[in-house]
Amino acid sequence: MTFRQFAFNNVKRNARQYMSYFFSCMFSVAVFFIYAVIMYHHEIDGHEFRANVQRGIMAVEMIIFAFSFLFVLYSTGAFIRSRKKEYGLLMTLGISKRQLNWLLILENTIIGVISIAAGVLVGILFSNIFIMVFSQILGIEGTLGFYIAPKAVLLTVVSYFIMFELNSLLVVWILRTNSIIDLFRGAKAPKQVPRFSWVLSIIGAGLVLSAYYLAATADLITIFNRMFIILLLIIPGTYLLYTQFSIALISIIKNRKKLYFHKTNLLTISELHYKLKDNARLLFFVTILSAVSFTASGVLYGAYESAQNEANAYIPHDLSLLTDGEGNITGMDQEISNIITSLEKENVDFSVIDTTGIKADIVDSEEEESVDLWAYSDYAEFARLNHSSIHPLQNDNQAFVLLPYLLTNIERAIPETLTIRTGDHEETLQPVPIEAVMNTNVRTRYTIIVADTIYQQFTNAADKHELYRYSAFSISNWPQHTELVKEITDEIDDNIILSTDSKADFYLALKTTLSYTLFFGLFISVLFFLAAGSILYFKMYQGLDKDIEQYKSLYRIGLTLKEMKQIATKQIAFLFFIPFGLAVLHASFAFRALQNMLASSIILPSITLISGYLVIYSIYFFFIRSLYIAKLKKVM
Amino acid sequence: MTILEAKNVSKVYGTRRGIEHKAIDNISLSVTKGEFVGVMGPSGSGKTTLLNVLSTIDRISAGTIEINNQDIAKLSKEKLAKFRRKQLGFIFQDFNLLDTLTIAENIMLPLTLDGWKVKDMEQRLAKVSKQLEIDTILRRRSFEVSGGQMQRAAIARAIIHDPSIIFADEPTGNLDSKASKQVMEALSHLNKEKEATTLMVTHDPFAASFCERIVFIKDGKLFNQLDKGDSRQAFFQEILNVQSMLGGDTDDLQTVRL
Ligand SMILES: Nc1ncnc2c1ncn2[C@@H]1O[C@H](COP(=O)(O)OP(=O)(O)O)[C@@H](O)[C@H]1O
Ligand SMILES: [Mg+2]
Repeated sequence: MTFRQFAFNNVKRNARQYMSYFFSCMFSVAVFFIYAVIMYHHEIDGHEFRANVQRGIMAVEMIIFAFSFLFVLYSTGAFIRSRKKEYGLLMTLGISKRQLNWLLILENTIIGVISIAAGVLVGILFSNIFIMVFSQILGIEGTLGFYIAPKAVLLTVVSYFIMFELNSLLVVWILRTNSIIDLFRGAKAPKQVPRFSWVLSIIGAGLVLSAYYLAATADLITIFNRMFIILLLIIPGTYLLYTQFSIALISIIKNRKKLYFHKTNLLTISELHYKLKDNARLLFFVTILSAVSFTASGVLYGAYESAQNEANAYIPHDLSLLTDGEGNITGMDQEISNIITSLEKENVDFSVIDTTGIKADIVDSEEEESVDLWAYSDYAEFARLNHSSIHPLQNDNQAFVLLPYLLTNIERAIPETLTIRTGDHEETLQPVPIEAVMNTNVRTRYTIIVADTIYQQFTNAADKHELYRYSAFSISNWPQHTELVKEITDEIDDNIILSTDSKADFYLALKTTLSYTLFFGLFISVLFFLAAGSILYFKMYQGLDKDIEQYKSLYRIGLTLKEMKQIATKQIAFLFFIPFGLAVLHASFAFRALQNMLASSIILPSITLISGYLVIYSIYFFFIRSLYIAKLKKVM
Repeated sequence: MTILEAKNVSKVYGTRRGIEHKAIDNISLSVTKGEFVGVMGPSGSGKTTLLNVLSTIDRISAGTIEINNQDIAKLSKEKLAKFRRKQLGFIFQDFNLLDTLTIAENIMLPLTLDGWKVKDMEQRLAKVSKQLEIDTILRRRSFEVSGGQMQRAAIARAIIHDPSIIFADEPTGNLDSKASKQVMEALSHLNKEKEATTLMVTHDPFAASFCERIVFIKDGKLFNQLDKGDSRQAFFQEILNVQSMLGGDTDDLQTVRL
């Protein structure tokens, strides 16, 4: 048997142990490859988005790669550690250090090459689906063709090959100082009783609680300063929760003899005691990764989902046309009837109002600012059209100033009195700010509502060119007709209509912007999350053999299969769902804090999203559990 | 009173290539209450296999085994496990103590699984640990005590629930001579004072000399039987004689897996 055969056989014999390691590597290769395919796709290369999108993909690629590197390094390390005894044996049998190093490098290279090949194959299979989704999101007409750039294959193969080799070298370097005796000991170093400190446990809990408090009480202004402090509290706090607090908690449970010595609890709890300590750093890592991915994707998804509410908040009327001047006002008839025809053709329910307003100048203003004036009875019509409440004017001297959504949140200085003039008519009014009920006219300083009698006086004084015409549509169920509305607004003659505003336009624009961010953000989040799951899975798999040994001896002294299943299920469930639960808790407080930045609630979107994660996670859990149970059955 | 009655027991292992191997070939054996029976034979003769089938860990291919008049072939796996933890006690070569538990917790494990009250368990624990002289190390972990102490803890675990019969597979296999002596004296003491019925597999003539009766097997078949006379020294000599007659390796070679 040549040395190379020996290495190959070694991989073959350790196939099961290598399996999880292999699948994780393959997964990351496949993901990397799919992104490379998109990055080098010739149609994307020539697309106008190119620079932007490519930079995004490049960033994702780099993150995936950095993450894979850490992941593979971690996995290799854990794998080597579980086989230290074997290496010790080889060395007592006279294998030289150089040969052992060769063996490790060869083994790793074999695994690396196979997972690269498998990853690229899987990537090719899935890239078509991916490209379709991607072009849909970017709104590229038709979809990108199925095309795999040789560059993408080359990039993936070369960079991952280098990564695997670097990894092997690192592992060899780590092993370099170990003597034979250390290698033997590595396999069965006795477990020390997990220690903990009360002080650190309490500090850990305190850090997390204070971070929660800061997050819960943050507002739009304070959140920016607090964000950093919260992170600074939550990360060490979580770490201490796992390394100290959890152990302290188990010690308390152990002292409650009635509970601890109740049937299989003795086995479950004592095992958990060690497993929690052994995996504390891992669980911490998983918790933080999951919390970050929950928060990031929750906020992005929330913003995306709330685009409709944002549109409602910023654009009061579903669709509006505004123009000025005698010619345009007459020309608008045609535009309105075009819109009505289009809406009727598609059987869309709608109602429309049509009003005139007056342009007036602000007296004493240095920049020659103007306002647009509307009669109170028209204001009531506007409000009725979008089901807003109607405020009463106290007297004829009062005037409402309509403030757009964003500005109602921030105090804007409204002068005590406002003197305006049209032609030779001048009035001094007391402005009262209220929320806007019509789409904002960006050409004037203020939009003002005055009593009908005052309005009449201005009308009499106004020149024909100083009139506005505003027409607003209420379209029932507008979010379902965004495409139609967009078609309609695209048809409108810009020479006749001064400004066209619609919820649909705003909504579509917001969605497109967010969809990029959401796509990349979600992708990285899911990646983080899957990586967290893989790490747990890998760790479980590594410990499987040792657990099986233990169950074997327990089976002999009379532990039933049912009890074994119970213990295994409980233990795995704890290790899986403690980090998940804590991550959800972390994320909920993050949502609570970030909620301040958005107009609409992100509770529902984030619940939806976390439920999605929970489903993936549960699949993971049941997969690992069934693996365990299958193994347990073999014991008997 | 007969505790264990095995009639014409055979055990066939089927290998992967379909070649069958008869590890136990038509063995009959009976153990009465209070007996201390040893099973000896060369390495690979089927001692462990015999112990496993007698102790319900493994299924037999032919024959019948009754423990306390209960035909164990009639019990399901689930019932067998419960039967083991109520009626049988086990001692193994590698002690089989869980390193996540303290010595005390290890010893109480069979009672815990059976849902005993904490108070009753602690009473029993105090009694058996005193008997086996391990009451001072109860709070330690298994890796913090010596091999002899570990095995005595394992014995305590095997007897804490007053089993009908104790099965021991090479209990001194991993111990030096001093610890072996302690362990064998403890087993012998239990047998004499408490009438603990014991079936022990060993290849160590010294350990075997503590038994009252020894059954020799070779190639899965009964070869010979020896009864203890008045002197342990003479019994020891007889054991050595039979062993040299048996031939073969007397030591279990540790098999090495690469
Ligand atoms: N699980 C098994 N499958 C196949 N053959 C086995 C198995 N266990 C033991 N044997 C074979 O049965 C014979 C008896 O083994 P064992 O009872 O372990 O012997 P002893 O304990 O006396 O050394 C040996 O030849 C061994 O190779
Ligand atoms: Mg044996």
